[in-house]
Formats: sequence, structure tokens, C-alpha cells
Amino acid sequence: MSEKRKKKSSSKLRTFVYVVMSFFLALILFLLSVCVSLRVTVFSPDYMLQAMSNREYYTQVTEEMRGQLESLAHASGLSSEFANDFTAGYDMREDIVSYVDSFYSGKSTLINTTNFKQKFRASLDAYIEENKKEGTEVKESSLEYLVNEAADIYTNSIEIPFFSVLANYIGKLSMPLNITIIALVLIGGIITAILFLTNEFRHRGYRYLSYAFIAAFLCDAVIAGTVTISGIFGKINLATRSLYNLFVEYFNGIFVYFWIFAAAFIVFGLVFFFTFAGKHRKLVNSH
Amino acid sequence: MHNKHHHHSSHRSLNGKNFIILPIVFCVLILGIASAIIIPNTMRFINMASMFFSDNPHDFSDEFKNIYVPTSEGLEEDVKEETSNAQSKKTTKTVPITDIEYPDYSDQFGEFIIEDCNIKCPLFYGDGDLQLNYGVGIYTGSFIPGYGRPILVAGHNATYFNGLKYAQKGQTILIRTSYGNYKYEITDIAVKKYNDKSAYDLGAREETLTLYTCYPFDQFGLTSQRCFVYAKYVSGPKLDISR
Repeated sequence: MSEKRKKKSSSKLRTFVYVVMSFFLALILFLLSVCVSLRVTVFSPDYMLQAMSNREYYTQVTEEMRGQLESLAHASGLSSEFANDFTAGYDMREDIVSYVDSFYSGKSTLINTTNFKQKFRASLDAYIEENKKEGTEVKESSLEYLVNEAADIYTNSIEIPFFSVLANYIGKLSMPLNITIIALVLIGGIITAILFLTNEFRHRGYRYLSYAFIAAFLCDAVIAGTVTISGIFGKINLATRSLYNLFVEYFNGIFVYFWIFAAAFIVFGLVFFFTFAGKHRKLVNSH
Repeated sequence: MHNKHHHHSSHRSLNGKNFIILPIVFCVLILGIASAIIIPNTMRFINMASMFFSDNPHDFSDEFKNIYVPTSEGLEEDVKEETSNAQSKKTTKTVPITDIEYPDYSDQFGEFIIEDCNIKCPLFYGDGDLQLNYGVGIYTGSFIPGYGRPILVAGHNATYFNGLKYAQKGQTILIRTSYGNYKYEITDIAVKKYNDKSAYDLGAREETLTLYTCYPFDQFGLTSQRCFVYAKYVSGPKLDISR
């Protein structure tokens, strides 16, 4: 084998190795985008609270609870005004926020109904005092039954389905996720360094970086695009409007981060491409 | 230095197509690998999650559909005496079930009347909060009038079924629907616990009407007792479920 052919063969092998490294860098970038997207959304209590604010969750939940308390009032010899007045004077926001906080901090997600029960009972007693007609019976056990049913409505209004199950996973996965993000950044940095430092022509490192960033862009764009086009989260079946709006906002928000990463990747991919092209042209022209 | 320049000059082309083809290949490989790893391990969760999605948009509105159009069908004159083979036989008009608009859950499909108890209100298919806020409702695990099977109707004791405190044996209950008008006669009244399974039998093969509401009447709060009013079918078109 001639010297020229040996060199050509060795060059092809080197190129292949760099392409493989470029592939792994693309994989790392994609995984990094997924992990960071999850870190700032699913694993962040602020994200959930922000989604609640964006969709007027507190107002909707309060309105739904009012409707249910109104039905309970009808079944209990009370007027609709009782439910309206009580709900208007009760702020659920604080209880919802502390429920979400306890969920993310790994504490018990049981909802404390003591305050609600006390206020409901006080309103009930005041209503009966004002509206008791002759012949209307007031039995302590019936009132207690009513207060407990109202507290159940309140608990169900605040509770978010499957959060207690998810809390377990989030608590366990939070630290491993952080470590994974750090590890991915380190490995990505090492691969990038190898691509630049071991390459005979330094500017070729930009070419392999460009491959990786464009591939990572495609991965994120394909996933986010598929979810956006299918509108899958709009078809979620949940019992109440408030939960539906919250979940649609919550899940779509996760894929907004995918779009953000996709945009960043394509910008970097193009920057690296033009940098490589410029340096390549300059080098070719100089010879 | 000379070798380096010589080597580079042998790759003068930019190979622009590589910037398209290679990222696509990478993307396919990454998503393929990710699918191969993730999907088999999460199939259980994916199947579970699919139960929470539907093709139809969820309706959260508090409005109900009213399919009730009053009719004279099934009033007393529709019950005719026919003579056949020298035997007197009472016959009732039948309506093919395919000819009626079968109510969906939450539809108002009739009117419920007990004149002696001063009860006259909309009748719904379903006995949820919404229906009982606006009238009385048939439990969907029971049957609609004319079907020939038990009918279970619920109402609140503080509102539409408050008049049941005046119910007495022999009183007439009238249910009006778009496909016919039905009469039932009260046969019994009883107070039972809310969880008393002997209170009604939805598996019976005859048309009976059971009304229930919380008991005692005119009491603030929720109670564990229920007032049951039992009635037998008197007249009204039968639904032909064979067609």
C-alpha cells in the first residue's frame, strides 16, 4: 500500500471517529434539553404556580366549588345565597399554594380542612339563626354531616389528580436529574474539547459542532412539532374546567421549552456552520 | 507544514450536503434509540395515559338539553278495550324504541307531576347535582318510562320533592314525555336508611316507579334517612324494545 493510500485511509477513519463523536454530542445536547426542560417545569413548584396564575386557576376552582356547595345547599335546605356568600368570603389561593408547596417539598399532601370547617360552620350557624322558620328542624348530627360533606368538596376542589403519585417520583428523581444535567454538560464539554484539540485543522471542530447542534435542533423540533400539531393535550379528559385548563397549560408549557431549545440549537448550528465555512474559504483561498 | 496544506487542499469542497444529511441521520438514530429504550419500559404508563384522552372535546358547560315536547300520546283515551276471540283484553299502545329520541345523560326529557303533593317540575335523565338543581332525575342505572322495568327518581327534599311529605297511597303520579304520558299510582311509602339495599330492586322485570328523597323533610343539613315512595304502573305507551 502506498504512503498516499495509507494517509487517505487514516484520514477517513479519523473523519468517521469525529462524525461518531459529533453524533454523541448531538445525543448529549438532546438529552440536556430534555433534562433542563423537565428541571424548569415538572420539577419546579414555581412552574406549576405560574401555570395556575396564567389560567386563572384560583378563580375557576373557587367558582366550581361554589357550584358544588350550591348543590349541597339545595340538598340541605339552604339557599343558593348561602353558598354564594360563603364562597365569596373564602380565599382558597393560600391553601392551594401550600398544597403545591408541600407536594414539591416531599411533605404530606393531606389538605388541612380545619380552617374551612370552622368558617363553614360559623356561616351555617349564622344562616340558620337568620332563616330558621317554624317547624324547621335543626339536628346537630345533620349539620355535622353537612359540614363534612362541604369539607370533602373543598378537599376535592384543591386536590390535583395523581399529584401524590407523581410527588413520590419527583422527590426521588430531583437529585439524580441535577447530577445528570451536570454530567451531560461535562461530557458535552469534553467531546467539544476533543473535537477542537485533536483535529489537525482546528476550524473543522465547528463543522462537527454544527452537525451536532443541527441534529439536536431536529430532535427537539420533531418532538415539539408532533405534540403541537397533534394537539394531544387539548384532548385530555378531566372532570373540571379548571383542571383541564391547568393541565393543558402545564403540558404545553413543557414543549414550549423544547421549542426554545430547538431555536437555540439551530442558531448555534448555523453560527458554527458559517464560522466553519468562512474559515474554510479563507484557508482554501490562502492556498 | 507543507503536508498539512497539501492534506487540506485535497478536501477543498465544503461538503454542504453533509450539513443536512448527517443531522437527519443523527436525529433518526437518536429518536429511534430513545423510542426503543423508552417505549417498551413505559408502555404500561402510555396505555394508562391513553385513557385520559378522547377524540371529542370535553363539555364543561352547565347547560342541559331540553328534548321534551309535550304530547297527548298515552292519555286515558289511548288505552282501548279490544275484544278478541270473545275475550276482553285491555291493550296499550306500543311505540318502537327506535322512534323515540332516547335521552342522553343530563337531558330534560319530561315533566314530573303529583298534583296532590303540589309537585310539578322538569324530569331529567340522570340524578347528578345539575339535574337536581333544576328538577328531579331518573337514576341512569334504572329505566325510562314505558320500558317495562323499574324507574328510580331522585329529588331534593328541600326543593322539588319537598311535597312528598304529603304523599299518600292511591295518589296519582303523572310523567309526561315527548313519546307519551304515563300514570302511576302510589302503593306504599317508607322511610329507610340511605344504604338499605332492600329499598328497591332495579333487576325486577316489571315497570315500577320509586321516588326517593332525604328524610326528614324541612331540616337543615344532610340526613342519613331516605323517604321512599313506591308506585305501580297504570297507563302509558309501552316501548317496543324488539324493534
